[in-house]
Amino acid sequence: MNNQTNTISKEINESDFVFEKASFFSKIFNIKTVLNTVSILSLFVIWGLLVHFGIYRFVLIPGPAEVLEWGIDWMGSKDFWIDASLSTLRVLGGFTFACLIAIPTGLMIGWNKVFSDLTFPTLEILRPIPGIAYIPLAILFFPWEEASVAFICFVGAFFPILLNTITGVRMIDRDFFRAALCLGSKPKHIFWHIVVPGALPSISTGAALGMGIAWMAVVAGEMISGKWGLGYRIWEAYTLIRYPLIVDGMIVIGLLGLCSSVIIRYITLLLIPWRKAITESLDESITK
Amino acid sequence: MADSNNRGEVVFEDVTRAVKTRKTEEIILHHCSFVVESGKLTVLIGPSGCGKTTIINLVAGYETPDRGKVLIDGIPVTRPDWERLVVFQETALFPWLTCYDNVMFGPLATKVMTRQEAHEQAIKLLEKVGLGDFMEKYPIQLSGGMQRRAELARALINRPTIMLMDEPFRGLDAMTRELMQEYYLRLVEESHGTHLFVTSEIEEAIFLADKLIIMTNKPSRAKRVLDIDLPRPRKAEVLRSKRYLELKANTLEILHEEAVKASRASGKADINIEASIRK
Repeated sequence: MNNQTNTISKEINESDFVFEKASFFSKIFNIKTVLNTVSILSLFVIWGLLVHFGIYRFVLIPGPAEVLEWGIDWMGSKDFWIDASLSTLRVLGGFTFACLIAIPTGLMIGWNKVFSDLTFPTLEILRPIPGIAYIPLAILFFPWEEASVAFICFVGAFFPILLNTITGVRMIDRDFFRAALCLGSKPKHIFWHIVVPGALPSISTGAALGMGIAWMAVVAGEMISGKWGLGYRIWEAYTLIRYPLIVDGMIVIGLLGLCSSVIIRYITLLLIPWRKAITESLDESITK
Repeated sequence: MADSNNRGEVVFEDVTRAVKTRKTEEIILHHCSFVVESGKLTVLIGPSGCGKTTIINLVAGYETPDRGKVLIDGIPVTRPDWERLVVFQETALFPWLTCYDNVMFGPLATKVMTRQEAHEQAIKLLEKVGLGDFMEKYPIQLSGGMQRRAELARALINRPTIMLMDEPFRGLDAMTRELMQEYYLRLVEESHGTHLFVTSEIEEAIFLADKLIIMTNKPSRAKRVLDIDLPRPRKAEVLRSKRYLELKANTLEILHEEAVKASRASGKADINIEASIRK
């Protein structure tokens, strides 16, 4: 008898636990937002404290309050909007060109052995040269300053996109090609219906990486050759001893970079609906 | 479908096929000859690793024989063709297409039928394999059994002369497997095409087959061909009939001989290794 009640109470406890588990997971969203906010706040608090107590050489670094004050000023001026939009346009220009060239080239290299042998060695030699190393030549070569900075972004974004596209094609399961062949696909049909969709997930990874590097490149390019732009503004702030403005520039670059990766992720989900199905089924198995 | 009744005969004539690695050459098929009759369901059974997948690849045209001939209706196989359809060991449904689009892939690639015709066929087939409510799902959202059924539908919509099944139900649990076999039989009995089905499960082999080809160990050839004269349409009850048990015992005996040989061969190999270590 006693034994029986024990099992019953155990069962009840277990079902309670299941119930609690479900509500726990609905709570986790809130806990997550709290934790994320704490993460960002603590960055500002630690920074503020380090500057406030002047630990090591932090006396030289502007504190959060100063930065905020200068930032509001700067955002009110016309300069800010010109800087931000020019930098964004340069990144977008370089990035778009990189996609337009790297994706088709990568697809061809991954798919076609002859094309691969023909182009890949050259690209492998060019690959280790960082985009920044192209700055002097880019200034020399392009008559238009916008083009030279955009070109540096292009070089930065090009290789991650190219390499990920190639890997994407090469990782496609051989059985998919075989299946397509025996279903009656001709090479052109295979290219559009197997190679392209099969490589898309990897291409989108490459695009996200490329976008990040394009932002790095634009700042470096503008510091050296620009008259406008966030990179130029940061460097100018340093030379004119307007130190808080440096940090403002950095924050704006960070936010713009964040925006662009969110946009890329969104486009990726639109282009790759089956990926969403994968992540959904993953989420399910994690929640279980 | 009358013409496919007398088409789709596969003949292996003295086929030898070896796989070359950098140093060694391993012979997989050795003077292997057999006939897969048209319009029948032939099951190939043999110990694992005896080159069953190689045979499928040879018929499909993914590989070519080193010696001998693989003939289909008297014509040597040179490359893959949509008259010969393979259903793979692992599911090869395209993950980027929905269930419905996967089934439509063949007709849209070959354009042998209009889109409207293909659409009607696809829906009919998907409903027949019990996937009517799952047409817009991606393969990853389907269970293993559903994926296999979708793959069957994707193959059958092309009305292939020859269906090549490479252990298609491997890795499914026993219940699903049984269901799949029944689905498959129903489709085969309606379609009348030639089917070559490869498996290493005796029950499955006898349950499905018109003809059973038993393979030897590597280097393998066809050891024995058995007629499976169980009645059609076949139902699960057949598995309890006396004739089925006789056939099973018979097959087991032949396979057992091969298994003994295989273990002796590997025993010899072990001794060889030991000897070489001592040296």
